[in-house]
Amino acid sequence: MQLIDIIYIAVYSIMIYCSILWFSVFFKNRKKMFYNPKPKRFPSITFLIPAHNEEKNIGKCLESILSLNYPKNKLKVIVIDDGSIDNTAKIVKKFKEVKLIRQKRQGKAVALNNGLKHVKTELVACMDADSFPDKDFLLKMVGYMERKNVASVTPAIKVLETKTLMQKIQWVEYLWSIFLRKLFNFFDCQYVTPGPGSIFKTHILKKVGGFDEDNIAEDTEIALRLVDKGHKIENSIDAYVYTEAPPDFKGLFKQRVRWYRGYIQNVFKYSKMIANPKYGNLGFFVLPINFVWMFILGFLFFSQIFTLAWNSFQYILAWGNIKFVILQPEIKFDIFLIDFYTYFFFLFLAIGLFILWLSIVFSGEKVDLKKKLSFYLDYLFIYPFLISIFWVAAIIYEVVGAKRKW
Amino acid sequence: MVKRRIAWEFYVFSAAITIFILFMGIYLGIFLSKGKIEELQSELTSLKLKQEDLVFELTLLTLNNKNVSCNLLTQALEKVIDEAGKLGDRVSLYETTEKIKDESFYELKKDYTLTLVRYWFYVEEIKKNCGKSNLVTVLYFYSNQNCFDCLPQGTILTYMKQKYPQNLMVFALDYDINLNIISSLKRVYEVQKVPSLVINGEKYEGLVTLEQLSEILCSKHKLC
Repeated sequence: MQLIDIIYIAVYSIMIYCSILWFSVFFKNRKKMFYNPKPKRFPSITFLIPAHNEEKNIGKCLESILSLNYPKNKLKVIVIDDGSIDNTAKIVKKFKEVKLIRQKRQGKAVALNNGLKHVKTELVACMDADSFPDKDFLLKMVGYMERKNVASVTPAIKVLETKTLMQKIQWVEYLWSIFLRKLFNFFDCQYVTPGPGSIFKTHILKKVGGFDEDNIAEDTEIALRLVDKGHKIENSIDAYVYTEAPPDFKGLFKQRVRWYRGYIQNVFKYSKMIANPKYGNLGFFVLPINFVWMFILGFLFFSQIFTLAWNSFQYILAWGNIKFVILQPEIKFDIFLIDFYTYFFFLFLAIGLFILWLSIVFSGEKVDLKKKLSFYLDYLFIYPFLISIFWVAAIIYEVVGAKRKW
Repeated sequence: MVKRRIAWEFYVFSAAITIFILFMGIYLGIFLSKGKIEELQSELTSLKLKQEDLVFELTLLTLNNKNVSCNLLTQALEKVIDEAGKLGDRVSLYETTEKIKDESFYELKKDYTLTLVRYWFYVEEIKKNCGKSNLVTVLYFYSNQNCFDCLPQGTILTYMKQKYPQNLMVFALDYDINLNIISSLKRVYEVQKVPSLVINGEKYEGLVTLEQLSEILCSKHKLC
């Protein structure tokens, strides 16, 4: 056994360990997955919607919010026009119930803070202009706010459109995130309150100082800050928000590099949490293991690419020596082609399929092999490569210190 | 302020399961490795049996018995050597890809190499006794370490073997194996690097391309 095999076994061990850990968290809480506490009362809530050139979506977004199943007198909406040069403001003005604030182009976090100044309701919800909450969205979430120490509740985000390959992959990825976010909730280690659809207690959000305006991932930063200040974040697995996903590789690349760089920066910002028992499982396990995962993804990516490239190069070179004549295959399928790597391959395939199945079931979808098979396959076989590329790019950008921008 | 706790029970439980799964994998690997060795062993045994059988025929031949047909013997040899070559492929495959190598493997490989060399001797003797000049033997010295040209060379030889199955006999020998006979062969034919070919007793160092090999086999040794 060579060094590389030992590294592979170590990497596989970590992958298996994480899978088993999350399976066991799931198994322990399997009966509570769909449980949302019933609200005793309906607290007043304001939706904050930062919008920059969103004329295409903002109308639909406002309609979906105004038609939520929630007492109308408890529901307020503020749109913060972040320096749009299109018809965003004009469209918003058509909605009498909606308050419009305008600012120069200053970014999302500034827009949210500007809006927050005008919030007088008990709760505040963040919403992206290209996202649309489900009718029962609030009913599923507000009950958690009656629990002690809870500062925020996160939703279940789904991809709205699945036209392109990238969107199909993300569609499945988001289902997986829905499932995983609930497990993170049970394990008390959520570290993101996603932009579209997270709700907060207004007084707490104001007390901790609102959103960090210098952060490229303000939704990660605020979550970590809330945890740092001793607050809890809950999650509802069926409070659906539908959102637009980047349709092509370039858009997705930009989005993910921003997310992951934001994550890296914020973990450094809150590095005191790492290995600190005060922060429970988040500090003890989740933040450090995510860093390990970053390197695992990078390693797997580069080692696979390298092995593949080197082997193809050698074989093509050898094949070229016989003018690419096709030889009769010498080695048929037999015991000599299986070893313990085969075992790991099937193990991970089984784990992957099982997670996929759980994700589908617990995000309220159905396994649909007729229409969705290509989604699943793309996700299983293309997604790992994509995600590795994004992480590697994020790390490189961070190390090189490229300018952080939106 | 919420009091957070570390869920030790999950971490310990998962560690236990992970270790179990890993050991399952490694145990399966060892089990498979043993199974492969057993298969190689049984193939080698049958190859050696056929060899002994042929030895007696060859002895008869050298006693100048007219009833033993040179042609039949050559055909029989060709078939067995082809089998030996295929076994050699599997031995190589095991050596290069198997992660958990069984200790008995290196003994087996030596045993296999000796069997192969013995076949080579018989072919050489048949060539002498039967006057078969169109029978070409190739000793192919390869290495599993640091030999960039060995894969192309092997591919070229496989191709030629498929093209001329009758009269071309290839014996692939590991340059690095620790056997006296291999050292002697290396010395006799002055083989100093890999890949090297010894075609009917003549040494060619470095990669012999398809064109060169065709030229050697066809013009010089009248194989085609």
